[in-house]
Amino acid sequence: MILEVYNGCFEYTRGRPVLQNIAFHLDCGQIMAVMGRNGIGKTTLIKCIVGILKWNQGYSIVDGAKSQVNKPMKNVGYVPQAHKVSFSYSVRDMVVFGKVGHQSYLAAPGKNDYVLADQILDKVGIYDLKDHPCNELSGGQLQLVFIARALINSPKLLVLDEPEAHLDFRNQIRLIKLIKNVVSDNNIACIINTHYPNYALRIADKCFLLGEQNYIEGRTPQVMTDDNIQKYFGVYSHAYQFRYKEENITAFSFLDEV
Amino acid sequence: MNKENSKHYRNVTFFLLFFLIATAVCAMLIGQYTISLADFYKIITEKASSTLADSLKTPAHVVFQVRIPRILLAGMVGAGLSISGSALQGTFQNPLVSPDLLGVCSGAGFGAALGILIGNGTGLLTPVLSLVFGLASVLLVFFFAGVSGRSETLSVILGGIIVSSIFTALVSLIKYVADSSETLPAITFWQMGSFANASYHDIGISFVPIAFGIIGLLLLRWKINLLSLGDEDCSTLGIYPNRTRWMVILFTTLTTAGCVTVSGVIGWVGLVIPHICRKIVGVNHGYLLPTSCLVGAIFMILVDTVARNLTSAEIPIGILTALIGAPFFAAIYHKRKKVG
Repeated sequence: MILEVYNGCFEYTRGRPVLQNIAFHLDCGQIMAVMGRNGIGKTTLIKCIVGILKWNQGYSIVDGAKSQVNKPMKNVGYVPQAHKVSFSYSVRDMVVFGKVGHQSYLAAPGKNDYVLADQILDKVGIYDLKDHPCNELSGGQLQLVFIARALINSPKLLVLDEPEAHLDFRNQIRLIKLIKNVVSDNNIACIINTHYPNYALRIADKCFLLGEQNYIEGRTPQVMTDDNIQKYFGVYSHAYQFRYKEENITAFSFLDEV
Repeated sequence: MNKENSKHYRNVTFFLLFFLIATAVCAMLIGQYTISLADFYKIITEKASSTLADSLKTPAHVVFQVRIPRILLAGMVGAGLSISGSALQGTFQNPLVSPDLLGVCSGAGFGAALGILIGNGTGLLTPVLSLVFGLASVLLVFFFAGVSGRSETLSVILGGIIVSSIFTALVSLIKYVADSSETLPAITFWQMGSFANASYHDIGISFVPIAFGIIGLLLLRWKINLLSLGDEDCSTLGIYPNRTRWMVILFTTLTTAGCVTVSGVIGWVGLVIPHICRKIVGVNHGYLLPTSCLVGAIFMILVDTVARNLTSAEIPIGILTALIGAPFFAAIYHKRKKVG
């Protein structure tokens, strides 16, 4: 087991809890998709797991290490939403920065770190961009750079905050496939925060639907039903199934608000 | 940075080191008392074997007692202010930040003014008071930012503005009560910044804080890259943003206070040199900080040489750096606006 969350509670202001009694676990090689309405606390949940925010009650354990406030966790690779970069670092530098944080204060990144960065850029498919300044990239390209930066530490748990938010359909599919490959190749666990149930259904082993008072968590086929979508998103939907390349695919059409 | 880039960086560093030595040697020869290269060579070699000819006694005195301490001091201060500027710009994610942001310059300025007022500017009193108040100013900023609960960028900058204006007001108070025939001019000249009275004594006072600060910043240079990505990225990449930011602030304060103590207020260097260096070696602070040191030292020695040669009465260097720095800054700002 890579990640366990016990009775996690979080509130920004007293008496207005965002997350209540969250409990779940995740194994190696599993992907969990976190979904819910805007502003319901998806990003908060992720930040608590990563250690940017501190659980008010309860705790989480990543690879045997208990969560602490702001305590850097080497085993977690966090991919933030693509955001503006204040200085025009090259893509290669940005990926190597992933290594810098876990080196001692006296160390500077060496040749090996740059070689490793190149390999990971190649794997993520943006080797050609390696000398490009980060603040001239598109949102989608920057997202891939952040993924490469998270992967350079070979994390045991990869956490992505709405990774496909800035991508077109083609790049969304690419990214989803990339995440799936990375997870199965390295046998790591992954949490992905998303607004696209159809992609989640294709790669996620588990799903986590977050509501205002409650949540539901479990294996994807049991969680992702028309009933639950109506309950957690306030939307009528229709699921339909078909086969594509030996794969059973379920897709949702969203019909109307409740 | 790829192989070609790191080679480029190495070449740049060698070139700058060479240029620094060349500048320093030129600065030793040029002045009110001009010394020829041949004489300079003789002075150096004969001083070493202590067989100095009588005719060379005066130039030897000029070189060793006047110019060498002055050049060393200018180099140290230039390097210190520039690396502080680079480090703070990275830490606060803003290329328009300069070392006086945190109130250090105002604090040190107040200390020096107080020293001149009560001790006539002689002896150790002025530099020590200046250093003490320079460091005290950042403690006040720390106190302010700490009280507000979060030591985030905005509260640190706000604290700097508050502390700055308090010390500026106190300096005005001292000027108001100061004797207008002697003390007031002394304070005013000090504030303009100058290396005119540089001595080994000054170097002795400022060397420890400046060297300590510069070494600290050089060790932190890669972490500053992470700080410049914002606190969330920073903490998920494995370093404590608050703790690291305060370390950077402490080292820049030591450096800046050490500089201001011996040279007075020399503006614009810490703002402009980092921008020039970014053009040369790029934005990665791992390379930017060492380059800033070298370019800052070269720049300061050059400007100081100009300051003492341009007119027969020496121009305070603070005036020259502002006259060069401000238009340069305006040009950068104009360009940024166009791009943005």
